[in-house]
Amino acid sequence: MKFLAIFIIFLNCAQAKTLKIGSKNFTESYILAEIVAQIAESVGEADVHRRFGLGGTGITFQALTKGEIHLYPEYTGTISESILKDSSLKDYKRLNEKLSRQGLTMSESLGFNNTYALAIKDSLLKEINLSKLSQLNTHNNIPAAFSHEFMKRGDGLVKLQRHYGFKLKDVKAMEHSLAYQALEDGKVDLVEVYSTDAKIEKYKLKILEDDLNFFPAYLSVLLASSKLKEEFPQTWQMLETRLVGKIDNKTMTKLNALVELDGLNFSQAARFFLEGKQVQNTLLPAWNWDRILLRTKEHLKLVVLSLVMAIIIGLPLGIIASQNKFVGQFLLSLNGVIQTIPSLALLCLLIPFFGIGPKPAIIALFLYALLPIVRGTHAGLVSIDIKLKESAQLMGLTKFQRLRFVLLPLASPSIMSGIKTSAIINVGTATLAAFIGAGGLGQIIVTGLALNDQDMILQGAIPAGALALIVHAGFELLDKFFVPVALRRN
Amino acid sequence: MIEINDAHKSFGATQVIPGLTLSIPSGQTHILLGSSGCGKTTLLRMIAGLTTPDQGQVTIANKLVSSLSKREISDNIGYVIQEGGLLPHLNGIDNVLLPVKIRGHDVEKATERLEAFAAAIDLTIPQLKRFPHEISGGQRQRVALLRGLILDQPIILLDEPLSALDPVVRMNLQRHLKNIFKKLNKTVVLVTHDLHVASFLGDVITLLDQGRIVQQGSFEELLENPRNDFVRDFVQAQTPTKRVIA
Repeated sequence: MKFLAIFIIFLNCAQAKTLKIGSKNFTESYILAEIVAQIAESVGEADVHRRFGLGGTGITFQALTKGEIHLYPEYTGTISESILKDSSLKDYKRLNEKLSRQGLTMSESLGFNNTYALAIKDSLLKEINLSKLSQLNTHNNIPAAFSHEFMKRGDGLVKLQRHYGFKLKDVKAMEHSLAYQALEDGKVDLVEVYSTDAKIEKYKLKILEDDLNFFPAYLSVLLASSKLKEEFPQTWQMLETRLVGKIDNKTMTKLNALVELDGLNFSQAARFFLEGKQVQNTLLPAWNWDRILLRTKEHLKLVVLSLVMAIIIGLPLGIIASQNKFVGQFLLSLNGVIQTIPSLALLCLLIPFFGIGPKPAIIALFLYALLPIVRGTHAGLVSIDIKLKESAQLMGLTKFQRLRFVLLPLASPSIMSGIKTSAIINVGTATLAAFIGAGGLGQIIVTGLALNDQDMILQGAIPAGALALIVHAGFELLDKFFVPVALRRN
Repeated sequence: MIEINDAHKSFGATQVIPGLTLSIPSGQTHILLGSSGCGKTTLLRMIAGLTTPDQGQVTIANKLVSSLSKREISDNIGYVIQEGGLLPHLNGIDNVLLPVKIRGHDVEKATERLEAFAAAIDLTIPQLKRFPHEISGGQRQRVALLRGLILDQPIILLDEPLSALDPVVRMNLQRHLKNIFKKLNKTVVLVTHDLHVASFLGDVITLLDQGRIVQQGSFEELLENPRNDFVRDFVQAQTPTKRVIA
C-alpha cells in the first residue's frame, strides 16, 4: 500500500495553471470542444489541455466535478435528466441555479437542439406505414438497436415506451456508431439518432415524428466549473460572445458532416466554423505512424506500470494466501469480485479518488492484473509436494530460504503463467483507458468508433493485437530467466 | 543418544503408536523393521520433529526435540526420506550442496567431501550433474544419501534408503554405508521392511507390529530365538530356506 501512495503522489506532481477542456466520445462533442479549445488558445489566458473522448456522461461529469476538466459541451436535456435527475427543470435560470450549488455553471444555449429521435431507413418508410412514433404501436416487432445510455437514462427508452404506450419486442443494446452499421447491414431497422447527426444524411434515414411530444429539448450549452469564470474571465467572456446563439442545427449538422463524411479532422472542422471558410482537407496519411507510435508508448506505459505494481503486490498476497486456507479463500474471493466489476464501471468508481487520466486507468489495470498473479502464485505454492516442503525443512532452510530456494522456484511456472495472463489481459483492457482520457491505443479506437472510421479503428486495434503477441513472446523469453530449466515444459 | 519415552500418536481415529519406549545409544546402527503401516516411519518423523507425539517425549542428546528449532534439529539430524525428496529443479550436486550453501559453510570443502562419498557409493560426477528426473531411482536414492551425509550430523535417519536398488548394487552400497557409518561413528536409525538390509547393517533390530515393539535384539537373536509366532513368521518369510524334499 505504501508503494501505491508514493506512486499516486508521484503522478500528482506537474500541475501548472491550465485550462482543461473535455469532451465525450462522439463527433459533435469533439468538434465543439475543439472549437472551445481554439477560442481559448486565441485568448491566450491559459495553457489549454485537451482531454477529449471521455466515456459517456457519467465519466465526463465526474471529471468535471473533480476538477479534472474545467469545461465540456453538454445538453440541457442531459443536465436535467441524467445529471440533476429532475425533469421539471426546464429553463436556463433554474438549471443554472441548481448547478451553481455544485460549483458549476453553464452558458446559454449555443443555438442548436440536438435531441434524441428515432429513425428508420428511408427505403423502409415506403414499404411499411411508419412515420410517427405513435405508429410503433402496430410495428412493435421491428428490430431495434439503441445505445446503452439511451436504454438506461431517465428520458430514454423506458419512458418513451410508457409515454406512447408501446413495447418494442426486439431491442439490442449497442454502441451508437455500431448501430448505424447494423442498420446498414440490415440487422436492425430502428435506431436512435441525434437530430444533428451527419449520418442521418449519409445513411438516408427518416426521423419518426415525435407526435406526442416526448423528447425534451437538448439545447447545446457549455457546462463548466464556476472557477473557470473566475480564473479565466476573458476566456469565458469570449466563449459566450462567439458561441452563444451562434450555432444552429444546420451549422452543427454541417460540421458533423465535414468530419464524418468529408474526412476533415476535428481541428479542421473547428477552424472551418471559426474562420468561416472551407479548409482544404489536407489528407492525412492513411496510417498515421507518429500517432500510432505515441499511443503505443502510452499504452505500454499503462500496461507496464500497472503490471509491475500488480507483481509487487500480487506476489506477496499469493504467498500469504498459500500459507493460510482462510486468508487464501478470502483473498481469492475478494480478487474474484474485483474481476467481475465491468471495466468502465470500475474506471467510473475510481474517478472520485484518482480523477481522470492515466492514474485511475493504471489503478484499474492494476486491480485487474492482481487476480491472475495472486491465483498463479497461490496455485503454484499449494501444489508443491509436501515431501519437498519437508525436505526443505529437514535441510534446515529458514522460512525465507525455503521461499527463495525451494518454493518460489518450484512455483515459478505457475507464477509466470499468471503474470503472463495478466499482461495480456492488460494489453487488451488498457484500450478502455481512453474513456477516462488516459490515452493509449484505445484513443485511436474510440475516435475511430466516434467517426465510424473502420480504418482508424484498425490503426488502434492492430497494434494492440500485435502488442499482445509481443508481450506473449517476451514472457516466453522471461521464462528462461525465472523458471528453472528442469521445470520448463519441453 | 536418542530416547523415545512412552510416545503415543493417533491420526484421527487410528492409533498408530500406542505408547512406545525406545532408547538408541550413540554410534549404534538401529533398524526399525516391520511391514508397511507398522508405525516405523512415524517414529522416524517423531525423532526429526516432523510429527509431534500426542503424548510422551522424544529427546536427542538429552534435549526435547519439541524444544529445538528447525535449524537446530537439522544441525543434529540428517534425514533421507523415502524416495529421496530431491528438489526437481536442482541437479544432483546442487541438491547435495544446498544445506551447505544456506548455512554459509565452506562449499569447496563440502565439494571434496561430496566427491569422496560419491566415489564410495558408485556415483559419478556426470551423474551428479543431472537433474533428478534424468537419473534412475537407485541413483536418486544415492544422491539423497549424499545429501543426508554432507553436513556430517551425528544422527542419520534413513527411510527405506535402498529399496530402489537391484540386489548387486545394493550389496555393494550396504558395505560402503556400513563403513561410512562406523568410520564416522554415526548414530543411525534405518527404517526398512527388508530383512537383508536389516541383518547386514543393523547392530540392533527392533521389530514393530501395529506400533508396538514385538522383539528387540540382533539378527541372530531374532532368527534363533523368536519371541513369538509373528517374529518367526516375519523372519522366515524373508529367509531363503533349503527346499524340503518330502
